[in-house]
Amino acid sequence: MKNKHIVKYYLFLLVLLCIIGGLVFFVGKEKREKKITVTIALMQDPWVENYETNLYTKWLEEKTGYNIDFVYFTEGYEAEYLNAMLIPENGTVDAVFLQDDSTVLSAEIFDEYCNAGYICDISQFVTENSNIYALKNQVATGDGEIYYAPNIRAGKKYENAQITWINFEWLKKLSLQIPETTDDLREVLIAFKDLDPNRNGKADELPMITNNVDSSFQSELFLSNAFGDNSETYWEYRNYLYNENLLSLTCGGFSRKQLQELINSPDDVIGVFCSRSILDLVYPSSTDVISRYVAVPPLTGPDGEKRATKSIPAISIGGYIPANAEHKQEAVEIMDLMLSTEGSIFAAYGEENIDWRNSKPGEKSAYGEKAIISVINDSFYGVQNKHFRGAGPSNLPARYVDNVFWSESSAYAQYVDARAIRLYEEYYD
Amino acid sequence: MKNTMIDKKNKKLSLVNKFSLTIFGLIIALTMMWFLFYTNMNRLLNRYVTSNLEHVSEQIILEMEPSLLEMEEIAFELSANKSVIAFLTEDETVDFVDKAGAVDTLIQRLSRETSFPRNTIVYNTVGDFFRFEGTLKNTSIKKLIREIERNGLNSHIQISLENTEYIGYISIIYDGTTKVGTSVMLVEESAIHRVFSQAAYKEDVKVALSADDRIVISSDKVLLGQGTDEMTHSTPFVVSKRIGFTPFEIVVIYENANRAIRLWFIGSLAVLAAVLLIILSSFIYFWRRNFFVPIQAVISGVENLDMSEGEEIPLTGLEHFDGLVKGINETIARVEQKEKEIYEARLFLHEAELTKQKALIVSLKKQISAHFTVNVLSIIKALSANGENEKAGILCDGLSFLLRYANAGDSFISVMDEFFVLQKYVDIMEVRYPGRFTVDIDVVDELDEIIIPRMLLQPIVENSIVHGIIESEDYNIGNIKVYCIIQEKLLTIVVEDDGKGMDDEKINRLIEQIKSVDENTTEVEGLSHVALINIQRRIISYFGKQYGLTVESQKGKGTKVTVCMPLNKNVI
Repeated sequence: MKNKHIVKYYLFLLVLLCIIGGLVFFVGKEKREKKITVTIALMQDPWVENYETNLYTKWLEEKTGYNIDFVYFTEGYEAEYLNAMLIPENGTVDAVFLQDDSTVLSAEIFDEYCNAGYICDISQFVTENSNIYALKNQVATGDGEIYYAPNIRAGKKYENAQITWINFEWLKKLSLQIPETTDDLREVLIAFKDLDPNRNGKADELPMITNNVDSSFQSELFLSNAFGDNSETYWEYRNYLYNENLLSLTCGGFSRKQLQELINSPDDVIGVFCSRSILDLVYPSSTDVISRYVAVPPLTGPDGEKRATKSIPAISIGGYIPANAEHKQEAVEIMDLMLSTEGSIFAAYGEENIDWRNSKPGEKSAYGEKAIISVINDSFYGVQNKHFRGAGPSNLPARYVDNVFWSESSAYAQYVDARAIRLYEEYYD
Repeated sequence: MKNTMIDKKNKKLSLVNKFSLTIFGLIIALTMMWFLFYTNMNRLLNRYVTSNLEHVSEQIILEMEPSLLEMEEIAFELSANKSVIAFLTEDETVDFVDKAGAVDTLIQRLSRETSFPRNTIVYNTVGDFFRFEGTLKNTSIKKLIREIERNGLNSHIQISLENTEYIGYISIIYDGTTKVGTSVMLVEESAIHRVFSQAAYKEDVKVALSADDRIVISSDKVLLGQGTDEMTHSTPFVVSKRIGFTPFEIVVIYENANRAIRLWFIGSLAVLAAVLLIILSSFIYFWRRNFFVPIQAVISGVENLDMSEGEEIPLTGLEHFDGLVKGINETIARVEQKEKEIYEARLFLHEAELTKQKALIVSLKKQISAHFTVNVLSIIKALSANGENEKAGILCDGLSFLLRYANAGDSFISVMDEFFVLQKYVDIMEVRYPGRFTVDIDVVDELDEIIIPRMLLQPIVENSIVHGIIESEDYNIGNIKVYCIIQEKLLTIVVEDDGKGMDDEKINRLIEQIKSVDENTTEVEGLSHVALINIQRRIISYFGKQYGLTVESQKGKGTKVTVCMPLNKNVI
């Protein structure tokens, strides 16, 4: 009889424990599931494996305590998407992230939306110790309103407006030197045009090209720097180049992809082109093409001066919050975190000690200076799931752009760019 | 009373109903479990497996189909577009790139659903190529072109470029019937593997992409190279979907479904067994508590009854059985009462019989005593009248002795004493009938210990003397012998004479009369046989019907009376 009671007692205890355990689990689950979810809209980059499982997303969620969901708008339908997203009274998106080179939203259109009240003034959510507040002078309107979190590109490569690249293979074949003066350039271009440097028996070479897709692709900028204020002489020089087909306008309306294909073509038809970085127009894996071109230092003009153009660090819209967003405060917190140095490094280079690490003594940057961080695995090119590949707010300090030791595949192009920039920076006007 | 009976009746019914209901419920439960298990298990499992399969396949198809269909759409557009033909037939590099602009616009317009990063290359028959998507280097493109042209590939290709495995969709571009170029859309196999691994999180689910009916990419390397038709026929749980007109087909296989089903089967069987055990345990527990235990208590109560007065079977505490127990107890009480009454009645009867026997003995004694006394007194008178006072005195003494003996209280005397009394009687009769007979009584010492009913032998000897010898027409001296045969448990006393005996009719009648005697016999036929009848009745009443006397007689030869009774020794 006694044993029966003991068994009943233990059974009762077991059932009670199961009930308590179940309650704890489900209450906890319910608590966990009550986390705020912030919805972010962006253009899906096929080189980002999965935004939901992205390491950067996980880091943001962990730091903020919010869940992050993504919705995607398709390239080419940005305007329609924006209208559908911003107009309704109750929005489904809490923030919109843009690529650093995005052309989705022009400044003018963005201002129109702001004036119409479709974009949230986030200054009300910004505290004085926040990262957004620290950039207030750069992003706020005259009335102190802040309508976006910026994507700031700092560093020498963004300060330099343009580098001119010349086909060194052709120079070698024609036994020519890298031009130093405008006259040298003219002679080189004539040789490129007439002497069939690509040795295919066809006069298919384009001695020098220019393009309007990006200002850095406009060779005229490089040429005009040589002449300084002497515009008349410049125009004369430039027109000569145009007329003699030394500066080809054929590619003026080409897309970036067309330019890339032209420059990367095995037919080797381009003599001189301009860009901010060699990788703007040459594919990172095409080391043969990268090595084909060398930087042309600023030319000495008729006045004997060399000049180069320095850019103001570009500030683009990294992210903004629709006025009809549900979780404005939370979205601001996320964007503010992305603007932190830690967040910006993560967004640029990926996972610490996997993709980058703190530099060791003796490691030098591409500019020959002491390196702060060393890139182990350049995760920007190729499919990756470590960051958003430039989308969203970012404020990477210049030292984390310039003082970088590159240790592998993309190192060559980085050093090529760095060497080129060093040729130009002393001549910034 | 009536209400109690109705209540009892109702209680009996409800117990039966309860049992019926529980049995019914048990049968239903078992039937339902059987039904669920056998008829639905396979269906549920199949559905589970199929739904899992469909869920996984839907997920994968949702992820991959748009991209693959987009490739098909692009390929189709490229194959039929004049801009493309113009681009491909251009042999000047700059113009080739220039005309590629229109094609690029077309491809960009069609590229909406890309979930995989893609390399889209279009090349013409002379090997001029344009990378509309992707950044593969020139040598990789040339390797790709070489591979396609050398092997005459026109649907798909798998190739390793720049340390990356690619799978590509190939489409030939025609100008009329003339081939002018080829479009190739490459996707990294690792991207497809990622989709597979996300969808096929269960080990039993295998996902594969087939091209031209051969598995080319799979989450399980074992499947590579297998034909999709062969797989569809050999594996029961397969979902496949061809992507448009591309050579690609997504295949989802649920391997080891049988193992999964077996696991489910075993698990369900365990659950079923547990449920069954619980139900049966409950059933057994209920009936044990409410039926078997109380029944056993009642049985034990009945078995342990020692029938002492007032003893009862204890109540079980259950309404249904307490009625039974009370009934049993009442029955026991009634039986006790009846037994008591029967006992008292028997006692009464026995005492009545004894009283009757005593009365009979008394009457017999009186009868015998009266008859004999009259005769002897007559003789004494006669002797006295004849002056034979000595003989008269002997007779008086003898009679006095016999009368005292006949009226003594004890029912039993020793055989020795009976023989002594018998001798006294014989002495008297010898006086009455001098010289007519002799009596030889065989006395042994042992007879002193053996007791018999009083006045048993005298009537027999009297019959022998009077009826056997004195009444015989033959005036020879008759001889009477009286002797005992002592056996372990049986005493036989024999009185035999050589008197006139009885004829067959007489003896048979007497034997019948003696046979018909029982303890209740009161009527006798003929005065001469009263003594034998009474002796027989007395023996039967004392000792039972298996004892008594037997008579043998032959006319002119004599008569032998044998008295049998159990050997009783004097215990005083």
